[in-house]
This record gives sequence, C-alpha cells and structure tokens, in this order.
Amino acid sequence: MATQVLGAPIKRREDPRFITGEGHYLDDIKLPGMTSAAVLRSPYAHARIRSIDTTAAKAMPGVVAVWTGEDTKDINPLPCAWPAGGVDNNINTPRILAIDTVRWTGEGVALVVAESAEQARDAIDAIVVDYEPLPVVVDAEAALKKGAPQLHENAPNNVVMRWTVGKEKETDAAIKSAEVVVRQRIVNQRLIPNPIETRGALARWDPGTDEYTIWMTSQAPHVMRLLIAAFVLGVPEHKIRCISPDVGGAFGSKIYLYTDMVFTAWASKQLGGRPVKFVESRSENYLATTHGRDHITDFEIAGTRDGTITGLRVKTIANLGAYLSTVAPGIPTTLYARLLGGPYVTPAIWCEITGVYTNTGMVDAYRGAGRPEATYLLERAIDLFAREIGLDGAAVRRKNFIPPDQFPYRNTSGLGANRSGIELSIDSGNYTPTMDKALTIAGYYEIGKAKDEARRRGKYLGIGISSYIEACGIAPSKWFGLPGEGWGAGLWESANVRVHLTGKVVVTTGSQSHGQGHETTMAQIVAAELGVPFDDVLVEHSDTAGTPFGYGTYGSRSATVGGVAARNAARKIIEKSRRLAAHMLEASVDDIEFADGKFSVQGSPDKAKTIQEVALAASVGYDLPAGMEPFLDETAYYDPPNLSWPFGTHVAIVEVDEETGEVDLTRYIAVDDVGKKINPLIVDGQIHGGIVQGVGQALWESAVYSDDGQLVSGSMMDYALPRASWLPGFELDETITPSTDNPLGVKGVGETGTIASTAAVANAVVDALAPLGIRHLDLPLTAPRVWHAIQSAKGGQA
Amino acid sequence: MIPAAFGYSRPKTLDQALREIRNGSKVIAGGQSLLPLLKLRLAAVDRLVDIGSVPGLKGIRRLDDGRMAVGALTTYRELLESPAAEYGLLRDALPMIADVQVRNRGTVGGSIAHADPASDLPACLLALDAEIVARSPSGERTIRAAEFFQGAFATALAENEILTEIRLPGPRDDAGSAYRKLKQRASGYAIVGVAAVVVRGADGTIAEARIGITGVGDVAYRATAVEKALVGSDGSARAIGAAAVLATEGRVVNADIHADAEYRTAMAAVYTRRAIEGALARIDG
Repeated sequence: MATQVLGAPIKRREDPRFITGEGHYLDDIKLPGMTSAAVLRSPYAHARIRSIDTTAAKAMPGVVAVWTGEDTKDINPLPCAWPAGGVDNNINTPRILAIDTVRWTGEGVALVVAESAEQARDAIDAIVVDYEPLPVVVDAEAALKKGAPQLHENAPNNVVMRWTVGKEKETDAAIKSAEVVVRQRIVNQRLIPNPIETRGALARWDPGTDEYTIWMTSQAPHVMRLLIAAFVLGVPEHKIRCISPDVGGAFGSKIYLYTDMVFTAWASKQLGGRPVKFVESRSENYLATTHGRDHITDFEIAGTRDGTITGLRVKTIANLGAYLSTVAPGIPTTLYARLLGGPYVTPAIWCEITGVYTNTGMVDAYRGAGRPEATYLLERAIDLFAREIGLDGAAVRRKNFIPPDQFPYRNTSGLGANRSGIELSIDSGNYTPTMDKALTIAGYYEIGKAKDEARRRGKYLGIGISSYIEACGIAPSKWFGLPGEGWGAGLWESANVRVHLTGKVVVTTGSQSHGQGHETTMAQIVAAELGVPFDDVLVEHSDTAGTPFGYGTYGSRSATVGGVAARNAARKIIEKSRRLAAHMLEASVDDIEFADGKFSVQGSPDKAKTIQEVALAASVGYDLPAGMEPFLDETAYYDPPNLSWPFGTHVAIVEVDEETGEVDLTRYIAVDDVGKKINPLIVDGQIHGGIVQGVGQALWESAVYSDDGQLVSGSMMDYALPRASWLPGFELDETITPSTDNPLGVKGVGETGTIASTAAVANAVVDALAPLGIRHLDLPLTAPRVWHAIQSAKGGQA
Repeated sequence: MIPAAFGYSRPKTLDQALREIRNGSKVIAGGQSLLPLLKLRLAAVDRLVDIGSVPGLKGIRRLDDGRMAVGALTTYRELLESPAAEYGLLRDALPMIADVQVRNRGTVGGSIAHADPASDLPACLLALDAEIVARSPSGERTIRAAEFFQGAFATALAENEILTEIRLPGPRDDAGSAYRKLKQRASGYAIVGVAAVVVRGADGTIAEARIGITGVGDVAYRATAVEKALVGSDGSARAIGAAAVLATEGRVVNADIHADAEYRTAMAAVYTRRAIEGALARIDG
C-alpha cells in the first residue's frame, strides 16, 4: 500500500472541479449586501497631485463612498518584509492610495465603493484629478545617473541598496591573471507573470465581533494576516481571518501584500460591515500586480585555454520599480547573487548588486525568482567562454561541474554564507550523467548533419544547452530568518493530521495551493504513511481559521518543507496509535509492528488492529491507556536543515528563418533530477509549465515601458504569452538523486523548468547564428531582433 | 473590463435597422472587435444596433453569373466550411484569424466594416477584387474593395448605410490565389499579410495579378507596383522577387513595439513573394 501511493502518477483530484468550472475562485464569492470597489489609477508615471475633486463621483448612481489618499493617510504603508542587502533608511513602500505624489502609471489615487462593479467603474471616470507631471525615469541604469529624476527623498540617486557577495580580491586576481577573459553585457528583460485569474480581495468586517474576514487570491494567507495585523491596520492578529479560495495561478505574483487586501477590510469597517469586493481587470493586472526580472548585468568570466573556469565577476543593476514590494530586495540578493556558482566549481566569484527605484510597476519574485536570472547569465557566460577558446560547450560544462564526490558542496567564494556565519551547502548532485543523458536524447554530437540540411532550406539550425541547479524548498529559518539579510521570520511549515472516528483522515497544511495539486500530493504522503486508502485522506488548506500557521507556497517549498511536516504529523499519529494498539492487543509497545495500515504483535501476525480500529478506539475513548488523551490529532512543524538543490540539463533545438528572423523551437529535451517524486505526473506537469514560461522569456515576452512611463505592452494583444501551438512536444527524462536533507528525499520542481529553459533556447539561437559571427543577442529573441542581427552580420561580412 | 453604459436594440428587419442607425450609434454583429473596444473604454457608443436577428444577411449563395455572394452575418467559420473555401487565399487566411471562439462568433461583414488596418480579410477582398454591397434607406449600392477601405477603421460606408453582402468573382481555372501572413505574436494580427491572386495566360506569362496587403500601413491596399511588375513576366523566381520588393512602394510603413518600419518593409517583400509563389503553385499544381 505505502509504496503504491507514494510515487504513483495519480491524476489530480482537484482537476475535475477546475475543468468543469466548479472551482470557487474569489470572484465566485457573493455575500449579502456586498459592494464593489474600483480604483482610480494614475495615468502618469510621475506627477504631483494638485487636487482631487470627487464631488461628481459621489453623486453617481449606486456610489456608496469615495476616498482619496487624504482619507486613508492614517493607514500605514505596506511593509517590506525582506529588506535584504542592507536596505535600511530608504525603504519606500506603497500606501493604500497615493498622497501628494504618484510614482508609477497605475498607482492608486482614489477608491470608489458602489453597489455594483459597473457603478464603481463608471464613477471612477467622474473623478477629476489635477496632476502636475514630473520628469520620469524608467530605465534602472538611467535612474542612477547624475541629474536623473528622483523618486524618493530618502533614496539619493534612486538607490535601494548596494550589496556585494563573494571574494573580491581573489576574483580580481583571477581575472587579472587569466589566460582568457570574456566580457559581456546582458539584459534580463522585465516580465509580467500573467496568472489566468487576476488578483483581488473581498473583506467583511463583523460589527458584532470586531473581526475581519478577508478572502484573497494569495499564495500565503497566514503571512498576509500577520502583515496586515502587525504592520498595516494595527488590528490584533486573531481578529483577522484570511482565506485563499481556489487560486488560478500566481507564479509568485500572489505572494505579496497588496493594497486591495487592506482597503477592502478598512472600507468594510467604514461601511459598518458591508462586504467590499475588489477584483482586478486584466489591464490592472498588467499595470499593478508585480512584475519580474529586469536586470542589466555586466560580467566577466575568466579561465584557462583548456576550459577551466577560474573567476566570475558580476555587476547587476536590478530595477525594483517605484516602491518595494513585500520581498523584492531578497530576490536579486539572496536568490540571485548567492546562486551565481551554479553547478560549477568556480574558485572566485564576486557580485555587486545595485537595486534601483524607477517610475515603473513594482518588481518582485516571479517563477524562479533570481535563479532564472543567475542561470541565464551563467549559461550564456559558459557558452561565450567556450566559444572564445574554441571548445565545445558541453565539454566545458563537464570539466567544471562540481564532482560527485564533493557533496555536500560549499561554494568556495562563500556565496552560501550569510552574515551570521551560517553557511549552506549543496546537498547532493551528480551532474555529468544528467547532462550526458540529455545530450544523447538530443543527438547533440550528430547535430552537424541537421545543421547542413537546414541550411539547404534557408534555415539556421542551432542547439543550446542549459545546465542548472536550483536552490529551492525555500528554508531553513536559521538562514532566511536573520533580520536584515533574511526576512526576520521563519520559513518552516506545518501540518496537522487527524484520524476521525470513521477512519477518514483530514490533513490541514499551512501551505497553499494555487495550481500545484497539494490536495493530491499531500494526501499521497499521508495515505502512504498511515497505510489508509488515498481516497480516505482529505487535504484542507488556505484558511487561517482552520489550518496551522504556515509561510505559504513559493520557492518550490511545499513538498520539501510542508510535505515533510505532513509526513511527520502522520508519524506522530502512528506512534500514538502504536501505544494504543499495544493496549488493545495487550502487548508491549516494543512488540508492536506497523505496516500497511496495520498494527500487529511481533511474531503473531493474526493479532492485529487496523489504524481505523485504533482511530475508533481513540475517538470513542472509553478504554485508553492511563494518561493517554483521546483522539488521533497531531501537528508537526518542520524546518529543514537546508534548501534542496535539484539540477538538470535542458537542451533546445531551434531553426531560425534566414529571411524573417523567426525562431521555431523544434525540439526540447529536459533531463531533471528532482530527487524522489511524490507524483511523477504532477512533476511532469510542473516541468512542462515551467519550460513554457522560460521559453516565453527567451523568445516572446517583454514588458515594455515608453520613456514617459506608459506600459506599452499592457495587454494580451501586446504582451506575447506562449501558445501551445508554438511549442513542440517536450522530451522529458530523469535521473534521481534523493535529497539527503529531508526524509522524503524530495527536491522542489515548481521552478526548474523556468530556471533552465530560457538559457537553453537563447543558447540555441546564438548557436544557430554562430556561422554569421553573432555571439550574443538580448532577449526576447523576437523575429525583428533576430532579423536585424542577421542583416548587420551579413552587412559586416560583405 | 466593464464598458460604459449604452443603449441597445435588436431590430427584426433591415429597414428597421436602417431607421435606427444614427449619429452615436454603431452596428454590431458578432461583437468580436467592437465589444473589446467598448470594454476597454477605447470606444463609446450611445446605442448598439444589433443586426444579428435581421433575416437575409447570413449564408453564401452562387449568383447566376458564377459569382459568390457572402452574407454580411456569415461567420469566419461558416465561410471556411462553405464553397468559398475554393478560393485558395480564403482557405489560407481564415484559419489564421484569431482563435476558434472568435471565428465562431466573428462575422465577415463585421470585420470588413470595422476595417482594422492589420486584419486579414481586407487584403483578401482587395486581391479578389470583391464588391461590397451596402444598403441605405434610399437603396442599395455596390462598392469595389479598392474603394472601400479608406483608412484605419475608416471605410466608404456612409453613416446611414449597413453592409449587407460581399460578392466574390467566380472561380476560374487559370487563376490561383494564396494568403501569407507574419503574425504579431501577441495579437495574432498581421505584421504583414499578403493576399495574391494571379492569372497565368495561355502563353505561360502572368496575365493578371492582384496583390492585397494588410498590416503594413494605416489601411490595407493594392500593391499596384508589384502587380505591374508581375504582369507580362514569366513568373520565374527572379521575376517574382523583383516584383515583390515593390510591396511598400509609395506607402508609409508603420512602426510599433512589435516591428520597426525597416523590418516591416523587408517582410512585406518576403511575404509578397511567398504569397505569389503560393498562388502560382495552386495554378501549376
């Protein structure tokens, strides 16, 4: 039983309700007396607000209330929960509504609450705001220049933080003395996460109890409750209940605290308890929900002529937008710079990060969060270095991989060591077999023939490799909890397991599912431990009133942290049950064996009680061992000793149309090692989705601001999300190197595809164009960009 | 995505519909272009006159002279599944328009009357030398496609007219047609879309050529310079190539975040060549 459930490709039990439209999302919730909120957003990227006239709006049909920044100025700004990288006195976070100045197009200026969403939307248009436009800067590098428009008084030159990691002198020396140094500037463009369900919140203040209930499209309802209570509204935590109903995708963008989670609650109280709902339109999602990436990086990679990498120096400017989102500073620091070692032994690494305010929407974690940026940089760097010395990229990777006997591996530049001296190491890995498997499937060493054949059809064919590691299963608290560098709170997870009188099992978890399939995988873990049928295990999550505290779902952490908590809670159930079974069987506890859901006496297998029988006895409770509490109800908190470190190699094959510059991804091979798998079907689904998002960055997606701060790519008509028909069937394979840092042996998988695929595709395109002398192109590799590169390369040759 | 309030009527006859259209009103059929504009509040109307219930505007029929008449309310999908699919360029173009849902709801007449400068059908109708039939309270008139499209979202339709039918020339064995399109990835609209109709004379030279181009400028147009260069030529790769580079001659070429003018210009030539090759292949094949 146990072995059948854990690791089985069980179809997700939540899918039938999603597929048939029976899910319950935020906007499906309708409460008696509910009102609708709409936000008037600034059309300017930077402007002083001279005056706001709400008279006409207040007189509109159905309008219940109109508020401006003046009315909400007593509400604290939202907190920045992860002021990593030494952000100190220059933290600037959004207020519920702007006061005096707007700093990005889309910033909230006024709030309307009306009887209906239509009336609220109409009233927005009746508000008259007199703006005095101010100079705008959208580019992070330009924002650092002398004379650039200044966003915040407390942040001279728009600097959020300057932070360094690694070994500066050693890196300088390595580069100075190197046989070969390759330099390149690369831009990791801004992306828009685009969950299919937009964001929002619905809140009801109860005048009888002075309690708030807030339904929200959140990846971390417990954390939202904590932040709203402690930092924003100043309401006791136990007076707030946060509920995430079904959430339709997030990719990181729903981790954070947003103004609507606060203003719906605040407004409901102002209105004497009428529920207030706010749901973003798609346009608002583009403008006002966080974006991802947006780095400008100059790097130098140094090495020997025979392919050994000796040093890497990286200077990255990270655009964080007009204000700091909840965990924004942690992304380019802890989750990017500290990962620049990748799967390679690089003796000396030095990285300087400059975080910058600009007149753009906020940037925070987006699927992979820092690790895709690091992987893209490294994998481009390896290819550039390999090409410079005339060696094959795979050979250079093989030569520099951390050898399998070096695990657990500590980065030699101390990238894994935080300020308090706690250092994390890579738990396990064996990188070469994984890469070789991918190369074999791809026919890497026979690609020359395919290239020749493609040339005869007017195409350039290219192959690209991306070898990656991911630091995921975001934890442990001892590393992330350090105030000032970590986020000053833990990163453990929790689970509660109860076995009811009928033998049915209810698991509650502090993590939150927004597409990952927790209801299936958590049930698999617990069913396997308890030896009960999978269908007998119910998983509940995402309601602070019914689940133990948890930090939420992001950073590929729910299985590695939350999953282990569920396993441990089930183990506690078994231990208590063992004592009760011994009592029932009149045997010594030490003689009780447990297997396949049955407690039996060693040597007398017919003397046995099933866990359901034990649960009944525990629940009825009339005959318990002395001192034993009734009922099987156990909670476990799990804080792993380390992150988990999946790895793999992805290979992309592309064809570039010489005439049009269009890139066609013709094959995609992914060999991932994510440790043991709880559900291989869900793992494959995660990898598929991840790959697509990374390919989207490589080829099509880009958030574009005009110089005056308008989001030009502000709709699906202008922001090119990948379509299934643009992609080949993915060829997936695996190696399995169990994690040694958690008892399930699992590693995270939610982000691996995105982390790996951008570089694989970019490298393939550059490889395709190599015969033209092209050595690097920035993303996305759209047809016009590639075409222009081909034209200038040909012009150069002529 | 909530539009501003608007009036709505659903007349039962064409005459009633004609009486209801006036300043500030707008005719709506499938709603696939107009409704998004209203929802984004990029357009506002006092009143929508929904002609979806008007009889006689749907369906495809063959006229006595062999021409094909397509009712304005015919959806893209119905057109593709009709005898009109015998036109190679429609067979190419229709599946490339938007997505299944839009093709099931969007109408041919609506697309033409909307006249998005990057939509596909205008180029096709120009190349087919189609006629567009419009009714007003004072009667009916036909407008040649070449005169119909006047600018971005601007047509020859008068305020008091409703587009009722599109007439396509009858099929002929010596003609071939094709549509080739470089899609703007996000929207699916044309960065460049080229419709070509080519007639090969008995001596093997190109006797007639009509090239309709969309997406390049503020209105779909006939690439007359290409046509002139092609007619009388032998239709060789060299001749086609020489003609195709004239695709944007005399036109102002658009630039946006998806394609700069230089790229669009180059792609107009590439796709013109590909469309002509495709049309010839249909005669020769």
